Amino acid sequence: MKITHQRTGDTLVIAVADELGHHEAREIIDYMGTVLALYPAGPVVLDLSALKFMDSSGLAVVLNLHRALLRAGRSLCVRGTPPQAMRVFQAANLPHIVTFEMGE
Amino acid sequence: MQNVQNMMSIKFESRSVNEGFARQTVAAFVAQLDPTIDELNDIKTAVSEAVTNSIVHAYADKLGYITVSVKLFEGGRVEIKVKDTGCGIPDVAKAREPMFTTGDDTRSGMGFTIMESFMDKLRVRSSAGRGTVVTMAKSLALRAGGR
Repeated sequence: MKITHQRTGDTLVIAVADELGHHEAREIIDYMGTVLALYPAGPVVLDLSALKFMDSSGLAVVLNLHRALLRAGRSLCVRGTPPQAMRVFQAANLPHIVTFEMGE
Repeated sequence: MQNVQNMMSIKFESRSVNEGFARQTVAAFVAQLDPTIDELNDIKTAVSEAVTNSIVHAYADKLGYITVSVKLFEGGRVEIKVKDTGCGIPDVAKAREPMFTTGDDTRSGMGFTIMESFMDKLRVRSSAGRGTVVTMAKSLALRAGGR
């Protein structure tokens, strides 16, 4: 698992790569908490384009991020979601709660 | 009743680092049936959910063993059993409800829902103090040229 972030203008882009299961979820949630505290304003993009596998732990990661940003009045957009991960999000109806950017 | 074409079993400790090992091993074994990428991903995801449940809930405060068994049947049916000897699930019907979880913020409560959505059949047998067996089955689509 690899997680990185970069600031583009006022947008914070967090990218998660490789695999996102229960084994990786804690580190990702903690990393996101640290980065959100470091950059406490502006929209956030979660880039999943390099994700190779995700299970329902990914739902928890995205919902945690969504709730934290909602409380802070900030927006979230998930982009580059691979088909396997999107099937998991769709099974949980997450695209009705969180904004997903389709296509590249 | 279809004949078993091939079978395998793995046993490993309930360490979270073994979740990836379990799903990848099952996927490598099932690959001999020439599944589609979507079918293989569905199986990997369901196995990941079942194994994670055992690690997080069955052995919450201790290490134990998890056994994953796979049977491949003639005609392309795959049956997977994930067995632990942990604490058991007090109320299986409740545990299978979407969004229900007794886990921490890394859990969504959607594990059983994902297993049900991605596999054709799901059966959960559990008894307090003795453990849980999750049995999942999926029939792979027939491909042009046969299997």
